[in-house]
Amino acid sequence: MSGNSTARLPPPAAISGSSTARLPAPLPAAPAAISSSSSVHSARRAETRSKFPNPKNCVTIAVSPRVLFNMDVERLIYEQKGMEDYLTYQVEHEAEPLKPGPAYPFIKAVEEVNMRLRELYPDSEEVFDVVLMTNNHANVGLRLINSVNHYNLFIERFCMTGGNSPIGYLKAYHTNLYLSADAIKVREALDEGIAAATMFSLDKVTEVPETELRVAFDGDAVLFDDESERIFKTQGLDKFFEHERALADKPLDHGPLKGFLEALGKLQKKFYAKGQRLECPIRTYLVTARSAASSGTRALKTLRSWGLEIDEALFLAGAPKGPMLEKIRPHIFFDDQMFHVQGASRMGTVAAHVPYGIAQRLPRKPSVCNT
Amino acid sequence: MESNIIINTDVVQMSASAIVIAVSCHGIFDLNSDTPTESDTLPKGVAFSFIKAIQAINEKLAAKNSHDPLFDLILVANDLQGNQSKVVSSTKHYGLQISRFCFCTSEDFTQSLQATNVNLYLSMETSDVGKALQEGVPAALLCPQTRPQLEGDEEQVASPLTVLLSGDVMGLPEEKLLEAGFSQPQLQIFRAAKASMADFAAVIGEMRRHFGREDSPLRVTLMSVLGSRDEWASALLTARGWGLEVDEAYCLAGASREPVLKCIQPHILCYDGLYNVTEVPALS
Repeated sequence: MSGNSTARLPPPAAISGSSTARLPAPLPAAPAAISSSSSVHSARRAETRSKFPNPKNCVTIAVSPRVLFNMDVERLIYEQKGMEDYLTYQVEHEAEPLKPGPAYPFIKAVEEVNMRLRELYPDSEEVFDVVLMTNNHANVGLRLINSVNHYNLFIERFCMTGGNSPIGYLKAYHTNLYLSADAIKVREALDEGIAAATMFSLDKVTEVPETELRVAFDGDAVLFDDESERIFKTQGLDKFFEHERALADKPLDHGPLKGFLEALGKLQKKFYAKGQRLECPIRTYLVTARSAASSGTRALKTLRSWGLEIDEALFLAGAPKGPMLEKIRPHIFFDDQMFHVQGASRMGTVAAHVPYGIAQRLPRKPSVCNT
Repeated sequence: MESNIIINTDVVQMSASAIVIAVSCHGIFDLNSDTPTESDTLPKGVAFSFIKAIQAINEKLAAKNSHDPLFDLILVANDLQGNQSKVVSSTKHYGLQISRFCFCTSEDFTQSLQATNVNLYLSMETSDVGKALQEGVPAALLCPQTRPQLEGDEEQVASPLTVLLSGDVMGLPEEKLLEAGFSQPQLQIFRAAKASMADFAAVIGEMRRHFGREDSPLRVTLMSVLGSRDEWASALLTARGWGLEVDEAYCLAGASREPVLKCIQPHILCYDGLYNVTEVPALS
């Protein structure tokens, strides 16, 4: 950060008892008043939440407030004016809930799944658990709580590391998926074996279903490792086909998001067990440049060898992914190539970048395919 | 009166405005070491770096040439029986800026502490901390550092003194604890911790103000283990009302705190009597 950090903290805004001396008084100190904004849903919350699930048993999604909410304005203040002005701004606007960010529809859909799971399995800890994970300073906490309250989000776990790296905490919370705006942190998480992806603000967002969580994955370097992609990038398409044909029966090695697909599959099976296969509120998609007739076989066989199901597999044979994703309307789409992430975003799909594998070192040449 | 306070002649005594921290020597030194020592020097204990962190704060304050009160350290030893000289010589050997020693017994140590006007007593033993709190001595747990300690040249920069305050003490109403089935002895400690917390927070808050947002040699952390996010919000507001700047804040909502504590590595941990190390489900 810039070198003009102050040698001393600014003087306290309020001392000795009263909390309203200089700060705008958005929040009374009594807890009852804080939760009143969610009074309509608080009864439902109390019923459906018996106790908070043990992180070891649930599917933990750690999400940065910068992607759950839109903090573009605040980020700009931080970058241009520094930490103190940023924190002052946040505190001054504490009562103002943040607007939704790119991960918001995904998290809302995750909560819908939880409600359905709790109807069927009231005492189970095998549910989603969303943790707000940030290296933000604790002063931003109250604005985040107010924003979570405003949207009636079921987020009870918060991790504000005050400048320290959140990576160790991801492990402490048994994180199954980490979503952040910071590519460096995402890469660090991937290095530690945690599924992670970078998300970006969107201008145009397609409407997505509210009652069915749809998660779409690219294949190579996302669900699978980048073995085949490496061949394609270094030796070309023909070699790639040859390689895949020769190894059609040998499962690919796993990629960074295989574990998350597996976690989704476990939750899906809980619905199937109660006879709700058709009404299952989780749907997964494979959206790959592989071809159905040839290289796609190895992908499907690999999934089968892992005992994993995917609801729909779309083999595009190199065609652009944007139009297909626009039809699917997933809440999130994971891809290792920025080219595809941008293409999807342009058409209104929330796409998250998984910075894994060879594609990070050898980005796509513009002449290969049209957008 | 039996004088059991010994002055460390190697160190300049501090003014009366200094913030007095009395710390138990168990943990600063390893008193149970099996390795026979030829010299009179005890090995470093698991909380040795606490002293280094305090010294780093004092050095930074002294460098500013302001008249801000420094930390004044007293080393407390209960029931030592014969190792007293080793504690003194070890302190001098490591060049620790400890101004006084207090040798006492587990029965009378709280009286000795009260006589020294201590601002905070630290021990690794929950029983000692609980006893001190109930006798009106502000007290907290001294935590072992589990990260590998750097030696030699790398030791130059101590990790910042990290103080962890209990968001549950600050934000949880007692009724909830009663409903959840906590025992009376636990509640007594909870109340005692709450009573001393405001003063302690004021002391730490003032100290924290002397340093900037980043690269501070003192970091304040607030953690709620049992409370909901609204109770955590209440704790954050309480801290703000006390003028205490919190750097890091965590709401665990019933998640086990041990893995998170390993990441934070606090030196000082507020003891609230609610649990030791076992997992406790959150209150609904």
